[in-house]
Amino acid sequence: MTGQERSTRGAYAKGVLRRSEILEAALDVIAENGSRGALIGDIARRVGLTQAGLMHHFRSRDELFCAIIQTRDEHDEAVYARTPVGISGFLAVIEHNQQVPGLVQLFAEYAAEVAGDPRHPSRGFFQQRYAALREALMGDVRIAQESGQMGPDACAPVIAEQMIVAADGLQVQWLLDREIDMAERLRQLWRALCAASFGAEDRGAST
Amino acid sequence: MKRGPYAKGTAKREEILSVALDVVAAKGCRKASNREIAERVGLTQAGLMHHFASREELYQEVLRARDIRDHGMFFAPDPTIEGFFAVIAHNAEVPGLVRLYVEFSAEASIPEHPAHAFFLERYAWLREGLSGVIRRAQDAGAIGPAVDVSAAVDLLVAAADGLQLQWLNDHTVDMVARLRRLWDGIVALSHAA
Repeated sequence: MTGQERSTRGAYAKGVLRRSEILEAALDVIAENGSRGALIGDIARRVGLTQAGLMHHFRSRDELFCAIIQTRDEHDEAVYARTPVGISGFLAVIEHNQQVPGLVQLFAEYAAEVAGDPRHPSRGFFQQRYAALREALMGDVRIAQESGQMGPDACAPVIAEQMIVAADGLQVQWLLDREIDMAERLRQLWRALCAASFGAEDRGAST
Repeated sequence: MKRGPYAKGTAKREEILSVALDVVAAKGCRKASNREIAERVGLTQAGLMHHFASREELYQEVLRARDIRDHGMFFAPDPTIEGFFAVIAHNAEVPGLVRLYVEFSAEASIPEHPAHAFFLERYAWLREGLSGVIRRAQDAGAIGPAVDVSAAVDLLVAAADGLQLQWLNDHTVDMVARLRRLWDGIVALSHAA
């Protein structure tokens, strides 16, 4: 933390509160204006801080961006939780994304920046995030198998990967051209993967 | 007087594109600077901007040159799915271009971005090429009639883009094997009643 020890519980709790207030404001600012340009300045203005004051709560631009994405994921989990179990939760989140292009844009651009740089400080954050998403989607595959929507030989890790790369790729296409229905495309992919899971045994390509 | 200066201008342009690619490959889109590119090709920044009006135009032209080359290498006379896989396999040999493509396409996704139109046209071109691939495969009987061509094309493009992002995160990802699997799925479904 900073030089001033947050020795008392009260001060610490206040800092946490302020931090989450900043993150909520950041989500609103980005959803409204996108993430281009004077992003940090816009967020600071919204919560009545200077940029320096804002960056007192976050050690770096990277920490701020990861915290924003994390906060967004927590909101999405609430969407997830409201839908029936299985792939519909994931599809509901994608449908929700179509309402918040600024957040999709921030994510797409930042994920690209991080992936491009092997020494990027946020690499660990994205690795964990992808691992968690893969786990969740593998869970959806198991649920689909239990209900008979997918065949018993469906390869959960491969299906999870296919959904993830399609979702990432569709985001950029959709940002360029809003006519593309991301959720519908992913629903079609899922149906195709369901159908394929009843076919011949796995084609054996290593993935 | 005719050929000389033009050829020289073209050669300088090629040199700038190649240096720009090197700089982006090493530093990424956000941190690559016009100044460094200008210095490395022995120009002032103003001199560099004489060839390319902006950073965005420069990166866009690097990608356009790549597309033209790939098209000649892998898509002539008509694109095929194997040609598409060959482009993806070739991408794994040119990580700097993949980095530029992934970062710059995400950056350019906002409507106000100067390269927005370039990427829109590029996607339209790619979709058209892949739609042709599917239609010809249908004509040849390699693919059945039951396929939603525009959905299949969008998903192939999305998978190729999403895989490049994953591959930048982890070079052991086999982009071609994954795409082939998606294509096999499309083929299998296309024969369904």
